[in-house]
Amino acid sequence: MKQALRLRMLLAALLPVALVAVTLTFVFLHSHLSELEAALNGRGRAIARQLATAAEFAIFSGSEDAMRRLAEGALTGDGDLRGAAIVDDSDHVLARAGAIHPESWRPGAKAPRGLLVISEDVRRSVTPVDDIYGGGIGAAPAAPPKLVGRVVVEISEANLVARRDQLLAWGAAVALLGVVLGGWLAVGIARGIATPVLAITDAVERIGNGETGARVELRRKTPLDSLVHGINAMAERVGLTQEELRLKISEATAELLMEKETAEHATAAKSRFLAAASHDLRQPMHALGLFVSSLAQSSAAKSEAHLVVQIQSAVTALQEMLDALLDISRLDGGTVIPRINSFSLRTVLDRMATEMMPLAEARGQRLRVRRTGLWATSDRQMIERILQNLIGNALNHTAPGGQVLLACRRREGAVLIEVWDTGAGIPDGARQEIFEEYVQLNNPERDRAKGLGLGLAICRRLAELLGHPIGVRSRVGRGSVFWIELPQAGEPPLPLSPTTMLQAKLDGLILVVEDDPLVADGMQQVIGGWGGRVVLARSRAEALALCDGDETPALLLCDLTLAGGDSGIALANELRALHGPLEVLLVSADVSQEAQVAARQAGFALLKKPVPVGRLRAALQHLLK
Amino acid sequence: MTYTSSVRAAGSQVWVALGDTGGVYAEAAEALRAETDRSAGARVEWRIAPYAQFRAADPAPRAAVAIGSSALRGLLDLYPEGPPFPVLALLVPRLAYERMHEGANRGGMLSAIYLDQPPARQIELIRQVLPGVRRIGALTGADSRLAVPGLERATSERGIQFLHAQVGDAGLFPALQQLLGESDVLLALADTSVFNSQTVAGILTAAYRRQIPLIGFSPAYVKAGALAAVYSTPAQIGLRGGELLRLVLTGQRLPPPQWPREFSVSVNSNVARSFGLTLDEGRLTEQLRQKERGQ
Repeated sequence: MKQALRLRMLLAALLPVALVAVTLTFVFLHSHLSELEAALNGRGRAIARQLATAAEFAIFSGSEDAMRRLAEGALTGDGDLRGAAIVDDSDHVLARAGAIHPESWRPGAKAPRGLLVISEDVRRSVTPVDDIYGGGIGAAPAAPPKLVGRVVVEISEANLVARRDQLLAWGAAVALLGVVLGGWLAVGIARGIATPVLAITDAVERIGNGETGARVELRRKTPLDSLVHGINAMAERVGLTQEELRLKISEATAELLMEKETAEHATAAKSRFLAAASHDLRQPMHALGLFVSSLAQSSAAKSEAHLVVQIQSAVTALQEMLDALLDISRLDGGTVIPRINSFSLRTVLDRMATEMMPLAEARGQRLRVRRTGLWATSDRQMIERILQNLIGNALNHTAPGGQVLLACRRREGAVLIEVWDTGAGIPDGARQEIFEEYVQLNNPERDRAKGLGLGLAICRRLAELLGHPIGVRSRVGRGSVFWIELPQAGEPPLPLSPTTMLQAKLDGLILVVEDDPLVADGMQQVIGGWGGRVVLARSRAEALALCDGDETPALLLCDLTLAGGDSGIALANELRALHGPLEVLLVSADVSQEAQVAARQAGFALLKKPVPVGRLRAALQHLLK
Repeated sequence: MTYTSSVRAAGSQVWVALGDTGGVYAEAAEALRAETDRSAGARVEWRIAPYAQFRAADPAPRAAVAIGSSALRGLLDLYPEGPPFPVLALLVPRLAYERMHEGANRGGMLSAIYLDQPPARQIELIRQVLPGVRRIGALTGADSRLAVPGLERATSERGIQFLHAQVGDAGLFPALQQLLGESDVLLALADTSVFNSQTVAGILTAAYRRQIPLIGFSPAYVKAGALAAVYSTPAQIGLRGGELLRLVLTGQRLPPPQWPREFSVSVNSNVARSFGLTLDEGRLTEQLRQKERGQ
C-alpha cells in the first residue's frame, strides 16, 4: 500500500513533467528540423532560381562555356550543393557541374535517398515590345514566356541529416534532463505528500488498534502539517479520555479484586481452619479407636462389656462426624477429583445394605434392598458416600418400626437410585433448604445423635461435583424419597471378585515408625492383639538402625510424613534398596489429593487417619499374605 | 459608333475603320477627328468603328480612314475592284502598305501616313546621340531586309558604314554575335521574326555585354533597355491624317503615301548614363526637327 501510494504520487507528479518535457522537446525539434529542411529547400530553390535567371541568357546565347561556368559558380560557396546542371527544353544536358544524377532529373522520378533535387524552369523573359511599332496589333496580350530549358540542382542532405541527428541527440538529452529534473522534483513532492500521508495512515491505524499513545511524527515541515497537528491533537484527546476510562475501570477492578481476594481469603482461611482442626482431631481419634479396640479385647472389658460397646459406639459416631467435616472441607477445598468407572449397582446396593443393616437393626428399623441388574457410570466411592449419607439420613428420620427401601430404576437412559423412607416427610418450602449445611429438620435441639446436619450438604456437593442431578420428593406424614440420577452404563464389564478377607493370624515382623508415643502404643497393642509382631521406631534413623538387626521386617507401617520432616515414601524406598522386598502401608492424616497421588505413584497403599481398626487389619492381612 | 458633327453636309460621311478597339487606334482616330473638325468648313458625319463592322453594301462615304494594317486590309477586301472613295491609311508600316498596294496611289484615291520613321531620321538620331559613331549594325529578317537599301543610302550620305546581318537557320544569336563584333551601335528594325518580346531581352543583354547600345523604334524598346528611339505617336499621326483628310473633304486629291511628319524622341536615361551619356529628349527632338527643316 505504501509502495502503491508512493508510486501513484510519483506518477501523478512525474507524468505531466515527462509529457511536457518530451512534448516540448519533440515540438521544438520538429519545428527546428522543419525549419532546417525548409531552409535547405529554400536555399536550393533560391540557387536554382538564380541559376535559372542567369542561365536564360546563356541558353539564349547557346554558350555552353558560359553555362558550365554558371553551373560551377553555383556550386562554389555552398557545401551542401552536390551538383548543378542546365538542360534544354528537350532535357538535353547543356552543362553540368559536380556529382549529379541524371536519372533524378526526369519529372516524377524519385530523388535518390539523401538528396534533394530541385528543378527550376528557365523561361525566356518577355519584354513587351510587340506593339504596333513592333509589328503587333497593339493591345494583344503578350505571349507567355517560352520554356527554353531547366536548371537542376542537387543538394545533399548529409549535413541536414547530421544536424538532425545532433539535434535529436541534444533533444533527447534535454528531454532526459527534463524528465530527471522533473523526476527529482516529483520524488520530492511525492515524498513531501506521501511521507506524511503514510505517517498519518500508520498513526491512525495504530490509534484504531487501541494504541492511543500513537502520534504522527514528522522530522521535516510538510504541506500537511496542519492535518498532522490536527490528528495528533485528536489522538491526544482520545488518549486522555481513554486513559481516564481505563483508570476508572482499573480502580473499580482493583477494588473488586480486593473484595474478591478478601472473600476468598476468608473462605480459604475457613477451609484451612476446618482442615487443620479436623487433621489435628484425627490423631487422638486414631489413638482412641486403637485403645477402645484394645480394651474390647482385654479381659477387663468382660465385666463392663456394655460400657465398652457404648464407648465404641461413641467413638464411631465421633469418627463419622469428623469424616463428614473433613469431607466438606475437602469438597470446598476443590481438591477432590472424581474417578469415573462403570460399576454394578447391585454390588453397591448390597454393600450399602451390609454396611447399614446393623445400624437399622439396632434402631428397630427395616432396611430393604430391591435387587437390580443395572450398571452405572460414576465415581463408585463417591456414590457409596452419597448413599451412606442418604441411607443414614433416612434411618435418622424414620421412627423405630419404620422401614427404608433402597431401589434402582431406569429413566430415559439414566439410572435413578432411590432411598425411600416412612418418616415424617418434608414440607414443600424446606425441600431445597435441607441440602444446605447444618440444616436439620425436626431437630431444633440439635441432638448430636441425629448427626451434624452435614449429610445432605455433602450429598449435594458430591452430586454437583459428579454432575448428577439429586433431589427429593416427599409427602408430609407419609415419608420421603431421595434420589440421585446416574448415567446408565452400557456393557457391564466383568465384575471384580471381592477379595475374601481371612481372619487369620498375622505373620511377619511389622516395623511401625511413629513419633507419637500414644499412637505407637496403640498400634503395638492392636497388632499384637492380632498376633502380629511389632518393632517400633520413632524416626527414620531408628528405623534404619533397627533393620540392621537379625530379622528384617516384612512390612513397614508409617506416616507419610515422619518426625523431622522425613518422607515415609523415601524411607520405604531406602529400606527396600538396603534389605530387599518389603511391604509398605502408609497412614496419613493428610487427606489431600497430592498425598494420595504421591502414594499411588510410589505403588504403596495409603490409609487415612484415623484408620478404622477393621480396615487396618484387612490391609495388614492382605499385605502379609 | 457614329459621330455626327454640327456641320453636316450632304454626302460628307467619313468612315473611320479601326484595326482594333485598342487605345492607340482610338487615340489616332480621336486626333484625326479633332483636327478635321477643327479645320473643315463643312459638317462631317463620322462613322468610327472596328473595320469588321463596315459592309460593301453600306452607302459609300465621302472618304474612309483605315487605322492599322488590318483595318486597311479589311477595307480593301470589301471592294475587290477597289473602294469607290478615297482611303487614307494611318498607323501602317511602310512595308505592309507597299505589300498591299504595291506603292501605287491609285489616282489620289489611296494614300497612307507610315507608322515607321524615314531612315534618314533614324540615322540622324544615332548621329545626335552618338556623334562619333562609325558603324551601324542591323539584324534583319525576311521583312526588314527590304529596309536595308534605304538605310544604306542614309548612312552612306553621312559617311557611316551600315552593316546588316541576316538571321538565318542557325538562329539569331550567331548573326547577332557577328554583328556585335563589328558595329558601334545596333539599330533595331521592326520585324517580328527578329525583334519580338521573346528575343529583345537576349539581344539587349548580348549588346550590353559588348557595350554596344541599341537604338529602338518605339517607346517600348526604350523602356526595355534601348538607348533611344524616334517614333511618331498615334496622336501625331492622327493629326497629320486630319490634315490630309481635310484635303479630300475640300475636294482635293490625296497626296502620295508619306513618312510621318511629326515625331518624338525617347531616351532611357539609365542606359544613357551607363554608356556615359547625358541625353535630353526634348533637345534631341528639336535638333532632329531643325535638321529636317534645314534639309
